[in-house]
Amino acid sequence: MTQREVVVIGGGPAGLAASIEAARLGAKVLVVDENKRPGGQLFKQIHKFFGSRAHNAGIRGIDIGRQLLKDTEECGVEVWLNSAAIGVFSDNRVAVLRDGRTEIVQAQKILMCTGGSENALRFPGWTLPGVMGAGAAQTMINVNRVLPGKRVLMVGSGNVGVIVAYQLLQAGADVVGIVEGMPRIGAYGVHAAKVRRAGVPFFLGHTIVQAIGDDHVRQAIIGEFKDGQVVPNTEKIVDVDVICVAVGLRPLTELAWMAGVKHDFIPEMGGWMPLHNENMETSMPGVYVAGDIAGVEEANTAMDEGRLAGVAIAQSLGRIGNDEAEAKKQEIRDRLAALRMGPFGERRQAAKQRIVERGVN
Amino acid sequence: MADWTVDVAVIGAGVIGAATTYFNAKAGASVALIDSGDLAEGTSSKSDGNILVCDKLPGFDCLFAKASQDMFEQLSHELEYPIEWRQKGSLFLMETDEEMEIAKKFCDEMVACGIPMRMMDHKEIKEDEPLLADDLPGGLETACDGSLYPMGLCFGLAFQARKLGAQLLLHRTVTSIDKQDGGFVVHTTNGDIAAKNVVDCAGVWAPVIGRMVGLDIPIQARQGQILVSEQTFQVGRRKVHEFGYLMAKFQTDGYKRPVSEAIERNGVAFVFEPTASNNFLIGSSRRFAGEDISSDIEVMQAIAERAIRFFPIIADIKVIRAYTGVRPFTPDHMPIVSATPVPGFYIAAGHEGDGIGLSPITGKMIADMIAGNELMMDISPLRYSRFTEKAAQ
Amino acid sequence: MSILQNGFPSLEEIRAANGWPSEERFAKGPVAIAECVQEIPCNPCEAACPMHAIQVGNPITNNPHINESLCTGCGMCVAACSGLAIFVVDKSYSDTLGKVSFPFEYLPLPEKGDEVDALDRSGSFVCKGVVTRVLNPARNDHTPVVTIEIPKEHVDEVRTIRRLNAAEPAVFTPVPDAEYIDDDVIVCRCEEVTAGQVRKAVREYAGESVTSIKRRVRCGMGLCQGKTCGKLVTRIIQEETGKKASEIPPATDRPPVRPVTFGALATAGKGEDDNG
Repeated sequence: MTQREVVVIGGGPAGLAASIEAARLGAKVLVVDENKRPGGQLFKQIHKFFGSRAHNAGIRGIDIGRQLLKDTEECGVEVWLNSAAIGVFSDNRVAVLRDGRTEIVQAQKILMCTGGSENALRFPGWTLPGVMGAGAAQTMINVNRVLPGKRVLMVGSGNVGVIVAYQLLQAGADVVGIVEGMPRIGAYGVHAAKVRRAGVPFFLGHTIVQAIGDDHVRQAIIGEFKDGQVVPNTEKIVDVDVICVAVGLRPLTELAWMAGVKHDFIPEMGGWMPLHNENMETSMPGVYVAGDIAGVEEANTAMDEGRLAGVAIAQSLGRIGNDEAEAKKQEIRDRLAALRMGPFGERRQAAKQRIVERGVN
Repeated sequence: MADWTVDVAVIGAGVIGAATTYFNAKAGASVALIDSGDLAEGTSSKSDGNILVCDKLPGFDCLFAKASQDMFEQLSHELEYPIEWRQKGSLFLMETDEEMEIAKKFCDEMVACGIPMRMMDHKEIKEDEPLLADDLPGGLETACDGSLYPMGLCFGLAFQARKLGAQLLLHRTVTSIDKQDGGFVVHTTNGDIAAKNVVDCAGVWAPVIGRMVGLDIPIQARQGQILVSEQTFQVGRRKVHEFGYLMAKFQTDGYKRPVSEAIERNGVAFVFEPTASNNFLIGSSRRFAGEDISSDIEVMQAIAERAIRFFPIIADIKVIRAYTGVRPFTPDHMPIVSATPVPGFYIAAGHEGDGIGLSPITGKMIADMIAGNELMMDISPLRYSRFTEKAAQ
Repeated sequence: MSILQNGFPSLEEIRAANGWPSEERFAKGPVAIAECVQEIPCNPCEAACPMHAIQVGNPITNNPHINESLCTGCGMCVAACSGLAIFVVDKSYSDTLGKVSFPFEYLPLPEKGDEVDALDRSGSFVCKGVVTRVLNPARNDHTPVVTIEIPKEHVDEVRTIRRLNAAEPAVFTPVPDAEYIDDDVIVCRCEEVTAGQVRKAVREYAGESVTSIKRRVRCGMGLCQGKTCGKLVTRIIQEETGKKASEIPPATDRPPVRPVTFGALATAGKGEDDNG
């Protein structure tokens, strides 16, 4: 069995930011990531981020990712790539699949930064090739540089749907429309405005009814959507070769459930998620969460939650005095609060407050 | 006022409770099946689906198991829910010459009891299962063994019983049992059930129910883990396990398998069971760990190691899931299927790893006892009083 | 609000949230217009302006305001805006023509002198325009800024040009007789379980949770271990029973969370010790 002081599961924005913070404060950190390079979803975020200067605003996600990797290396964080955590067991043991072996790593502190996963949507034909998650399409165009198709219907008008629609246009595809079940657009207006002026229509109060095709999707039927039902005789058909589904993400919680962490259903944050306290620690002492696993938000909040967890972990290991730690944590919490302001953030801010108040005990 | 009034209240909706409900309902009794959770939520959903006589001891043990096994063919026609019953026989594998010796003697005794068993040499087992390891000296085939979908059996029995009028009172926890008017009132978190008879089929949790009527039931949880493979080509055509499994099961002293310390410590013995869904289950482990049903990586690793020893090709196939349950263990490895000193209170529990296979005969016996019918065989070795007699000696 | 209904802000929304240059200011030369009408946490424009003409302040969810007397119309903010929501409008260009500068992150880029289709905020064709400048210095970080000249009366509407390789708009044809059978729709692709089978597990077999339905019809027992179908099954339970999602916990998660070969599972790691 291998022993490590801190094991961070997942080297995305939350995991790397946490590792850097904890390592700079003197903790010995191991990051395990199942991908061949760390950075999580940052490397497919080719758009410029929002936020303040403290939040890398105006910088593209991919460049933030590069900076995180550099910092990770510089502060001596150990990173295992192509290494999937396959389970968390009693006594803080993490089983890691690595080089065709099962390495068991026992940690004093575990931080889970496993991220989120795209929700599926049931409609006839959803299993046809060409129907895919918007995030999967984004990976194809921005990481693998493969265009999934030429004519795309986007289902879901949240930030993911609209940003990916924009990036599909950039990659050379046409987006025939964005379908949204609600009577209003979910994404930030500036994102919506980008695709709208590029000629992409929004179909509000509509849903995908059916994907049609033999070996691949060839057409999509959409229809008006009211009270959870398709309104009869409102269906319209359109030629497409890709249908992207962007109906939200949920926290990837398997390892947290397995570790015995207390969960609750928090709809604003993507559904079932591990509860945590103001230090990002869960009901299992020594087990922390940060990023989308602790509620689906965006990369800036993920990084700051990671930093918060990193400081808290270093503090609990005695690597930093309590006063200094509390001051650092307060600074991060203030930044997080700023990111959760405004009509888009306040629901998440309220949800986070509820989570912390609900308590982990 | 009770919310339901029945002839028989069965507590515990695992396979034993479902079978007890079914056979009582079939006999014309009004029955309520009560559980704090879902059907097959405890041990029955953490098991494999082997219906074996080969792993029983010669004598009553194997004859009781055989009588139960003989009931499945008919059940597979009676129950509308598909139970996926397949009777392809089973194969024990011996790893050493010493095991061959022990197996030979065991085989002779079982054949004498009427069990269709035969020894196979190295060449025969390789013809039977070509993907087996090359260094195994031989095997022991039991022609009558079979397998099924264990949860399917539970559902089949319970839903068929419902058709016969039984009530499925799930998701209500039994809180206490009062003796009243020559019968019982079973209080639950959602309604009371008045019953002339109560059958404790709560398996690992049978002692909790027993205490409600003042009975001390010597059942203990014994943990076991299973690995599930991805869907794959046919690795083995039927149930294959190591003869050492018998020794792990019965904790036999005297013989020690040539295995690693982790395998020994966790009571790991190789069990392979192909399913109707084109994947296979790999067992097994036996250890005392309280009521913990979380899988442990050390046990998972030991089970995988042991499987590769017998089917080397398994090394390249994927594990998609591990699951862990607790078996109801009794000190003498035999279940309790019995009336008790409390008139009208019966126990059908303590089948350890044999509950799926022994469920039909257990249900039938309890139904016959309650109806006052003559039993189809003497099951005095399963009487509850054997433990109190022992204590008295 | 127009932004929520149409996907672009109305002039009224822009005026209310960000302000709008006065006609006197327009007469003096090019001026930046922010069209950022929602309270989102973002302020790079503030720092991008060399004249300190843009104010967001605290909190950073404030809408940006451009001080028209400080703004020189230099356009530094156009490429700096993460939301691509700042434009430079020049009504002083000539008596008949005006200019609009906008961010344009599509390839191929137009070239100076190209005749292009000028589009409004909804992507509708307004008029023809001519490209007068394409700026793409390194400091723009891959956000080129394109300037076009168009008839002056359209400069308040035109905000972009048609992408050079854009296809014709898609045609949506009514199909009032569309038919499908939801019961046949696959819910669990690994084990090929249909919505109808899941419904039957709820209606006839007392299934009431994701786990109980998994036991009855095997959805979630395959290679992906229910990662995809878990939510879909939850949805059907909700449809059938009227339960809330918060009353339906996910199926029990079991190791391994990724499929792992028996061989890799059986092979112990090298047991590297922490030498620090």
